[in-house]
Amino acid sequence: MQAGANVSGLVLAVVEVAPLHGYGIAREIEKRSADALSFGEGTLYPVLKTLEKSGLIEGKWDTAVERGPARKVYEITHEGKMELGRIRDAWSEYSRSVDLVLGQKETHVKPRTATSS
Amino acid sequence: MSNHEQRRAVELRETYLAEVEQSLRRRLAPLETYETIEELRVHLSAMTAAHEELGMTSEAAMAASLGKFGPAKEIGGSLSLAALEGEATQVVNESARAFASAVLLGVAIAFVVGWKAEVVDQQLVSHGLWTLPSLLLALSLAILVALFASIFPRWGPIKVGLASAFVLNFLLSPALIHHMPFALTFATILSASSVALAAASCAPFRRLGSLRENAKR
Repeated sequence: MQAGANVSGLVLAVVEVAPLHGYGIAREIEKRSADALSFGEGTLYPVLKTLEKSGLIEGKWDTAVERGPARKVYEITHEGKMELGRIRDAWSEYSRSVDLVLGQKETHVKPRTATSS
Repeated sequence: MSNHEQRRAVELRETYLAEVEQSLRRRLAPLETYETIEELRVHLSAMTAAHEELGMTSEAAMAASLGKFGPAKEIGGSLSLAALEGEATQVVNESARAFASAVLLGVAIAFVVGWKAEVVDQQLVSHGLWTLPSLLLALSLAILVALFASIFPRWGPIKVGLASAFVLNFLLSPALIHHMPFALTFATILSASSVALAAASCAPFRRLGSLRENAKR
């Protein structure tokens, strides 16, 4: 999977349900996609940074972790929810278009071969 | 699991993080660099622990985690770029919002005060000669105050808006305008000055300029 716009949508969709830290986000994406979507987990952080700086998610340090070090937990913002809605709409439109093209197999008409007289 | 293996795993992680940090230091503030590295460290530790649970040695688990994380230089470069782009977006968004709200606030106050001044003017001056200067004066002062609020957002646009409404009501009392023979000229100059100030002190351009300088370095 390529990092970038696609990962942004996935991250927003995952943190929409509950606030999560980077490791949790990576695991949740894998879990939801039944391990089909796997990526270099380091590439997640540039995406998180971009989303945070754009105000689409908000990161807070959770220092109340009983065992282990503090973790930065990300939560979706109102703007993030709006953006996620736009990403979902765009994806639906794109996948519908691809379905239309891929579904043309049965009705595809072979071009007539030229006949020489 | 031996201490030697654990030590080796920590060494592998810290070497990797040092390489990422080297790329980040050029672009990010020290606190942000520290926090980002800490985040990566927590993530790598969690990945390694998960691998260890599957029966791997510490060293092998860390090596597997680093392999899945991606090349350090690449991650560092992408993080720096993301921070820079994100900051630019943030600056533009914040400043555009502040500027738009400042202008809206200024216009709203000007309309309210201008209308009020007109009502009072009509009582004092039969032909309403002072309506235009009072409106211009209100507009220019309101823009100045609202701009001030946008440059120092912590002051709170609402507080500044209320204060400016009070000050404008006081300044625009018909008696004051009545004693100001060059009110129209004065108000026009003030309006032009406030627009010039708006352009000159526009926060997005100033901060974007400094961001570009940082990027060049």
